Parts: sequence; C-alpha cells; structure tokens
Amino acid sequence: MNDAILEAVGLTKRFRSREEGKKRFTAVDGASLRLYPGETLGLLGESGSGKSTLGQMLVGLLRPDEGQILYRGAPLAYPYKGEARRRIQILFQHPEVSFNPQLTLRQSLTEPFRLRGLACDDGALAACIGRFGLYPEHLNRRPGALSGGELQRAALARVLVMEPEIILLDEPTSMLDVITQAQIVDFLRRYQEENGTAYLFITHSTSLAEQFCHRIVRIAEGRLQVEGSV
Amino acid sequence: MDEKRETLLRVEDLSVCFEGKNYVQAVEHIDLEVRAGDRLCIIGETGSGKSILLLAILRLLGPTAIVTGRAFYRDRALFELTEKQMDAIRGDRVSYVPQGSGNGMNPLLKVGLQVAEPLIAHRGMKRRPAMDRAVELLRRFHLGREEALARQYPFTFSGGMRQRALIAMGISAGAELLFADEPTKGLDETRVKLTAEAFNELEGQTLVCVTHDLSFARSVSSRVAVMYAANQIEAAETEELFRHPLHPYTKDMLAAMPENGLRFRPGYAPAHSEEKTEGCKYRLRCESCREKCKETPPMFDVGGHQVRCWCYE
Repeated sequence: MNDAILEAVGLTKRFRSREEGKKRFTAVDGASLRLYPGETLGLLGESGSGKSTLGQMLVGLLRPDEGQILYRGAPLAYPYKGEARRRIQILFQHPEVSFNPQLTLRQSLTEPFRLRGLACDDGALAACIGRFGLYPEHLNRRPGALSGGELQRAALARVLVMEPEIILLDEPTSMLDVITQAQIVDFLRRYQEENGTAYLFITHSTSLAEQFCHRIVRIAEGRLQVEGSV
Repeated sequence: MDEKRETLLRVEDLSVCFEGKNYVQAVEHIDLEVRAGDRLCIIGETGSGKSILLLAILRLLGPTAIVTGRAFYRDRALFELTEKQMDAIRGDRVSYVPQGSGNGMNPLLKVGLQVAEPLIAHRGMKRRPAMDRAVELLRRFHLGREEALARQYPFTFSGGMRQRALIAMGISAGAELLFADEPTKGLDETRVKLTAEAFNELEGQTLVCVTHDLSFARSVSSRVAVMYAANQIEAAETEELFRHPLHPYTKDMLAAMPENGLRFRPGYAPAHSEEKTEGCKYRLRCESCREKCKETPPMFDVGGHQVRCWCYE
C-alpha cells in the first residue's frame, strides 16, 4: 500500500561540526516515514534531536545529503517548485521571525492572495484574520506591535490562504500560552476534518502530542525510534 | 512572620500605554508587593501585559511608552532615579533575564565573558576567576563541553542553549532580586526541569518571573499573580491558586492545559483599542457573566486569595 501523500526514504543530513577534531556530525540519519492524508503525525524529540532538520528537509527548506522525498508517489527535487511548493506549507516555532519586520500585517498577508490570484481587499483580509480572533486594527501594525499569540494566529491565517495539503507544524505552540495553544490545536483539528489536510507536528511535549496526534514517531540523535498510534 | 521580611519591590497603580496611531493599553492599575525570599510568578496569555509590566518596573521601555504609577525597590522610587542611578541598581542588586534567546546576548562577545561580565562589573572579580565561575554556571545548566562553549560566540549556540546561558548570566552576580521574562520559552521538557531546579537552588534571591508555562510556574513559585488583558485579575499562594482557582479565566486557563484535555472557552481577549472600556475584560467569554460585570470589579480578598470578579463580592 502506498497512498502516502508525503514519504521520506532514508533521509540523511550532515552539518559541519562545531566540535574540535570532528569535521561533520549527522543531524538526521537514514530517516524514513510516511504521512497520510488527513492524519496528524507527531515527531517527538528533545532539542537537538534532529526533528526540525528532518521537518525542514520534508518541506523543501533543506537539501538532504542522502535519501529521497516522494510527494503523491513522485520524487521531489530540491528546491520544490509548482504545485508541491504551494501545497506544502510550514508554520514556524517563532512567529516573530515568520514576518518581515518592516511590513505591516496587511502587506505580509497580501502576498499569498497575490500568489493565488485572489482578490485582496480589506474585507478579504479582515475575514482571513477574523476567524483567528484578530481585528482589522491589527492589519496596520508591524510584527513588533503584536503579541506572540497574535502573530502566530496571523501566521496560520497566512498559511491557510495557500490551501495546503500538508502543513509542517514546527513547535507552533511552544511559545504560546495554554489557551492560545488549545485554540490553535482546535482550529487545526477542525480544518483537518473539513479539508483532509495532513500535519507533521514537531514537538517536545509528550502530553500535547498524545492529545493532538494520530501517530507519534520519536526521534533521538537523528534516528527515528518508535512508531505507534496514540 | 511575613511582616518581618523586608519589602524588596512595591508597585502601586502602575499603568502603561502606547499612544500613537494604534493606541495600546498594555498594563492597567497594577499593584504588587514582593518581600525578600518571595518567588512570584506572573502568568497569563501572550499579550496580557506581563512582559511590559516587568520592563516598565525596570525602566527598559522605549520612549513611546507612557508609564504612570509608582515602583519602589526597597525605599527607592525607581521612576525618580537618574539613568545613572538606575544603571547602578540593574545588574547589581536587581538582575534581569530577558525574553527571547535571539536578542538577549551581545553577538560580538563570547558567551563566557557575557556570563562573567556582571561579576567583573559589579562584584569586582578579576577576569580569570570570573570566567571560571561562568563555566561553573554554564555547567549547572548542563550545556555540555562548557569550557569550550564559554569561548564561543552566541551564534554558535542553539536557541535553547542561548536561553540557558541567559539565565546563567542573570543569576551570576547573585543579585537579591531577579526578574525573569519567559525563561523557559521554547525549551524542551528536560531543559525546563533543569531551569526549575536551578531557580529552586537560588539561595537568598527573590524571584519575579513572567511565564506562560503553568507547570513551570507551579514548580518554582511561592505565589502566583494572573494577568488578563492588561489587568491583574487574581493572586494567591501557588498551591492555593492551582488547586482552588477563583476567577473564571484562571479556571479556563488551567482546563486548557494538555494534561487536562486542551479544553477552552471560545473567544479572544479584547482588542487593545477596546481595553479602555469599563467592566470586566473577561465578561464576553465568561459563563458567569451578569449585568454587574459591565462595571469594573475591584480586587476582592477571599481569605488571602485575591480575585477581581463580581462573583466574590
């Protein structure tokens, strides 16, 4: 059976080492996994375990040194182009670096509308952020004048304009308070039920992964360890 | 017995707003009293004004902030000191662990020197022993290869490593009053535990810590204050607050923890432009809301447990 929407086969990534006398270290070592439509796959590991590196390879932000990535069964070449680039999106851990600090939220949100050829008036932008509890007054602010929770909700609103099939959620709630976290998780669940979007959820929180994910893969020292349903 | 401990920090009717094209009422009429040995955690959602409150007390806000009210360190009115007098207090008697592992360190100085700097500047230590002490402090946070790391620049550290180095910097000179702004933000569970252990091992230091990590707050604090939409809405001894929360917002916040099932009440905090309006700020989301909630509630005392909610009138 191979109906995975995204598949990693033997992905390896090495970086130049900071340690003296050691030239390279392996951040991800031969990782293979499958992501199916409509599921949330948790990638659980501590800081430095390689989970973000693996996630970034999967969404095309890093070029693997070895291995292959398949999107709907077809190999993807780095950097991603066309349909894969649009339909595979990422929500970063640090919302403050997700936005250009010199642009207002209005300017940042306009880009995905333009990329998709959609009308982008004040009404469309207000509706885009309104479902995340943001107000039209937020559109005129730069990232520095928004809280972390407001920024992360705006980042999610922007990601969803692209109508992604796959979203890499790279610890998207680790910088947020518990209510904002619960709201974002709830929204993502409902969005998944309606649209069949697949999530790769990177986290270091076991309790959150158990609540949110259908399956969990653990990663330590770059190697995938256990796979199981929750 | 409580009365015998000196008051190190007293905040009276502190408000902060940012005027301009986008008016923001960030902090509204906050009163706090922190005695020697207290461990106060200020919790609440992002944007509730916790960090702005700390920055206002430490006079680290930019010129666009309008701060009213008073803050005292011991008997010194902080808002009346000259910048030079304030500099003499910050880093010496009072230290600060800033939020954000990315911008809290000088990118041009090696990490070890930055951790040692308060010891050299405020404790008169020579560079060599101060650097040795810096390595010891880094070791306390289990960074690994601490002697080598002390000679590296911040950009070679991961976010979590920088965060731990910032805490080491904050506690290095042994200031009697330590302010920490989200010290565990972005750290994994193991590192959060290490940070809690380090905070709990601080001897003779008083802690004022802003955090959204409720488990961390419970593990390091003796008292907790809750903020919502620029207001302090509840304050109590830590275990009392976590076992018997009174304010509907605090109850909802505890229910939203993953271990409690991520349950939450729909709705969001009001827009900052609406925060000047009268009444309880939580009333639009609150299941206990009634007509009276259109009036701003005072802080009620319920057996030493303070709560700003008309339910406890």
